[in-house]
Order: sequence, then structure tokens, then C-alpha cells
Amino acid sequence: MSSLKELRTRISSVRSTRKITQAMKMVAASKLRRAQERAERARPYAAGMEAMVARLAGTVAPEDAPPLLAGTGRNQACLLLVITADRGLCGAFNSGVVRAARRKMAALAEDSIEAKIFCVGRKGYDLLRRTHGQRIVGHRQLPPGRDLPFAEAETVAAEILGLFADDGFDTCTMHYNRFRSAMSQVVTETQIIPRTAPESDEPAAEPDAGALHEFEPGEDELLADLLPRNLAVQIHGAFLESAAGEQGARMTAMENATRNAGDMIGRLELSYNRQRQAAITKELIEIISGSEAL
Amino acid sequence: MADAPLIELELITPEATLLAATPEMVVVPGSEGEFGVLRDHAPILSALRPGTVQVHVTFDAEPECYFVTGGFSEAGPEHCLILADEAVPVADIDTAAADRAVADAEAALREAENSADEAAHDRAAQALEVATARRAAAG
Repeated sequence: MSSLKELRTRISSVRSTRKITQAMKMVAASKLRRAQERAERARPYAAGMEAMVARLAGTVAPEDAPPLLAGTGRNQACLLLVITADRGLCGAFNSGVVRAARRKMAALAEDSIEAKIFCVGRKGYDLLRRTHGQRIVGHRQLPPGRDLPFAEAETVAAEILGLFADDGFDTCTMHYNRFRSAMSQVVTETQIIPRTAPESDEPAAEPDAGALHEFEPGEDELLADLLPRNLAVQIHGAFLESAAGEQGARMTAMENATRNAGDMIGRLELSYNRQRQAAITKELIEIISGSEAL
Repeated sequence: MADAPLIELELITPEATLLAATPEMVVVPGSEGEFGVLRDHAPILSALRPGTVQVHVTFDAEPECYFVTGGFSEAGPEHCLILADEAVPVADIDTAAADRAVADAEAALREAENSADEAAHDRAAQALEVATARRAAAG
């Protein structure tokens, strides 16, 4: 049984922890709102880009299609782009993505496909470095500021395209947390090289090409410009989703922590009061029995 | 005015939708030359060069101008979609800053010419092109 003084210190320390988690929850909530808005603002661009690429891709004969569109024709190496947060204290947010990446690597190993990893965000890098250090071909931390400039996604895309041009890998998948609501983030795997049409593509991108487009410059040049750009757009989209998801996850985690701290304070106070009363009762008995003995 | 043939214009950057309007004419700086988009334009998909997008709300009015650094544009009979890498209203361009950017880009290009790195040279040349166009747009 701990003494009264120990209990008092315990209670005050849990109280201050609760204050911190409560503050973190508020901060995450306000950051979440901003991150969510940003993710929404970026959506029209991504949608427009996707429509253009789909239109162009439909007009190019499969045999002339560039490798970014049609693939290299081999399947020997796969690059995993693992997007996590730079900071922890957000529940299973980071470990969920890392777990998905590990599962993917195990599946690749069974098909004897070489796996390579590109990490974005410090936490994923830290977690994967220990087990898969030799597979990591690059990693990058996001800039500490609040917003994620598009240029950041472009740099990552350029690095990945450089590796692709050097025959570093044949396919590339992206693992990240997709933001569904403040309470739930879904670990998502998207193949980005070669290009795949995103799910929920209502009519299969008008195959008959009802409107024959003119292309300026030629289709091939346009496609050569558009595809790397589209890659950057997809990566940027994933960054924004992941940033919003991170704040959502942190908010939930901190809310749980605050609630747990509250429960614990209740329990500690109960036992503190019990002990205090026991001590008083004991003292009274001692006084009474002392006076009776006289 | 009621029967004026309007087009639905959207000017979008990766960060935000900059403009959604229904002007009568849009002039787009295509990579192969500027082209104007009116209603019932033949479908076209074009890359953009650094230059000015002119939005003519009505034919007689002064156009609203936006500087774009590059990107892509798609136009059809009823709509015109501009996906710009970066875009700013011309009025917001700081002339002095644009001048400085040109000077910096020229210096960077000279430096890149001396080095053997071809990619760096291309990047510097492209940056100069953007800076010059921005300066020209600012007027």
C-alpha cells in the first residue's frame, strides 16, 4: 500500500498528463480542419489531371505507350512508397501503414520479386530501418511547416522517376492512410507505376472517344509531359490525405488518453480518500482507547 | 446579354481552384501558340507555356489576366479547363521582384553553362523562361 503522500504525487502527475493530452487533442482538432480543407481544395486538380490522362491514354496504341503507362513488361522489382507521419502519439496511424508494407513485402518475397522501399515521413523510416534497412533506397522527411507545398511532392516524384529511368524497379505501389473521417483512416495501397485507373471510374473513360481531340503538341509529347506530372499529383494527394489522417488519428488517440487519465484520477482519488479515512479512524481509536485506559 | 454564348472556365492549380467563371472568351498560352477559346470550340488538349491567360468576361471589357508558369489545358464546345502548375493574377505580380527573379535566373543559367550537368542547364533555362514571361506579364 502506497502512502498518502505518494498517492498525492501520483494524482497530481496524472492530472498534468491529462492537461497535456487535452491540449494536444485541441491542437490536432484545429490542424485537422485546416488539413481537411487543403485536401479538398487539391481534389479538382487531381480529378482534372486524371481525366486528361485517361483521355490521352485511350488514344495511344498499347505498343507505343511509354513505360510509365504500360509498364516495363517485366515484374522483377517493386518499389514501395511508404507514407507516414514525422511524429508519433497518434495511435496506430504509423504502425498500420508499416504493417501493410511488411505484408506486401512478404507477398512479394513469395513471388520472388525484389522489394525496395522509399520512405516519406520519419516514423515509417525509423520502424522499417531496423528490419528492412538494406531495402530502403531513399527516405525523406516532410518539411516542418504547416502546409505541404506541391513542390515537395514533385521532388519525391522526380526521385522515383530517376530510379525508374535507371531500371531500379518495374512497378511502384504507394502505401498511405486515406482520410475517411476524423475517426477513421484507412490504410490504402495504390499502384502508381504503371498507371492504373482509380477505382470508382463510372463509365470506363469513354473508349469510343466520342469527341476526337486535337493534341498540341503531339500525343506522345503530351503524354511524356503529363505522366510524370500526374505521378506528382497522385503523390501530393496522398501526402494531403495522410496529413489529414494523421491529425484525425492524433485527435482520437489523445481523446482516449484524456479519458483514461480521467478514469485513473478517479480510481486514485478513491483509494486516497479511503486511506485518509482509515488513518483518521485509527487515530480516533487510539485516542479513545488511551483515555479509557486511564 | 442573356443569349451571349458563354463557356465554363475553370482555372485550377494543385493548391486550389483559382477561378471558376463563365466568360465569353478565354485566350490560352498554348505551347504551340496562343489560342482563343469561344463557345463550340473543337475539342483540344494542349500543353501550356509560361504566359498569360486572358479571361474576357465580355468581348468589349478589358480582360482579366492570370499569369501561369505552365501546365495543361483542355477545351471543348462548352468548357475550358486549365490545369496550371502555378497561377497568379497579373495584378498581384510584384514588378521589382519579377525583375530580380529574371536577373537571378540569368545568373543561374550562366553558372549552369559552365558546369557539365546538362539537366541543371535545362532546369536553369526553363527557370529563366518562366521568369522572363512573368516579367513580361507584369508589364
